[in-house]
Amino acid sequence: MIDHREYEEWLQAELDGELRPERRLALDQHVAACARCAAERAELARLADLLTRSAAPVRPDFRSAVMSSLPAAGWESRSPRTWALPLAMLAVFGAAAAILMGISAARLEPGGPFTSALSALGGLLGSSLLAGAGLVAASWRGVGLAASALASRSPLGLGVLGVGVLCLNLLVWRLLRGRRTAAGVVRRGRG
Amino acid sequence: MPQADALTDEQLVAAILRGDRERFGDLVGRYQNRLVNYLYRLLRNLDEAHDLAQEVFIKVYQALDRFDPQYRFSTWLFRVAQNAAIDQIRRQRLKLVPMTREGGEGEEPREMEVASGDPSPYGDLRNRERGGAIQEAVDALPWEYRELILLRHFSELSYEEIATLKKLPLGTVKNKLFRGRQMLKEKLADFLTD
Repeated sequence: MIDHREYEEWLQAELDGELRPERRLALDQHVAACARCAAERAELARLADLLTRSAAPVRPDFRSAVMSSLPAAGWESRSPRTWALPLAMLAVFGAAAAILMGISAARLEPGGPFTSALSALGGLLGSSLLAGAGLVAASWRGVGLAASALASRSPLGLGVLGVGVLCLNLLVWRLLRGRRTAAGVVRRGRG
Repeated sequence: MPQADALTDEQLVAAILRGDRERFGDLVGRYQNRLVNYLYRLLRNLDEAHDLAQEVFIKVYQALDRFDPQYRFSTWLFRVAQNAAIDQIRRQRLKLVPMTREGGEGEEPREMEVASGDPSPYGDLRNRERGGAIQEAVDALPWEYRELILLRHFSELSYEEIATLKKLPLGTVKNKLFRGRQMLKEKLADFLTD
């Protein structure tokens, strides 16, 4: 038995210019032999024509009205976001700080109060770094122990661990990739 | 620089972002008929449709640097237009103004017309009749079918663009268009016969 519903769907796709090319011949052959589908095709074409002809005319000056009312400001006045300026500023400030510290250190007397204060500050910074590194190492060790316990318990645990690692990787990749915008693409094109 | 017709929407956007502001006029020209008619069918007032279409183009221009080129420009434009139209309809409802086809205070209700080559008074009357019937038939469609019919026939978006815009599966878009057209055919049966 012929499924007219399917051919009707194809006729609608044809009307919308979305009929797959491989279905064209089968549809034409069917419509040539089927009065119902031939009438449906004609009716759909008339409906589309009726809707198209009911379109309202657009004001002749519409385009120029839009163009003359476009704001001058907006993204045009915004400079593109780039790392060049922050990095350059960091380099300038870093160099200035190094020069100043060098000059100060050259003027300091060994064993004086400023030297002692600087050395105490350095010691504090070193201890903080060591403590931080110790904490990070301990945390990762804990994670490693938990992971190995999970992995050794059962194949399911190993699977869960694998999926977890994959999700983490996807998350990091997504964060690093960021959102693509037209402005970004244009900047990359310029570069 | 190539002619605007030879460029895709996305290439035009890139040219505008490089500083060729006049290219935005090409985008406006490309979409003005579809956008105004889409909004006209939603708002039922041609003057308001023109005003809102202008606002939509300006809004889009201001946000052009945030356009994500992995989507189609048309999808983005009509999403902005749809949101703007919904906001406007909400504001009108808040003001308790009835949704009629009237052009405004003191104006006669304006019937939609269908273009025809028949210049006789009878032909003119028939065109007005048709225009009114089309608008009534479209208005009578349930919202979920109506907006897809508008997006397809007045905005001329493809199935895929509609699916992206409405965040619907492609099959659902096809089914709803199919159903919507069947309903329209029933309501406009008098105008579809030879």
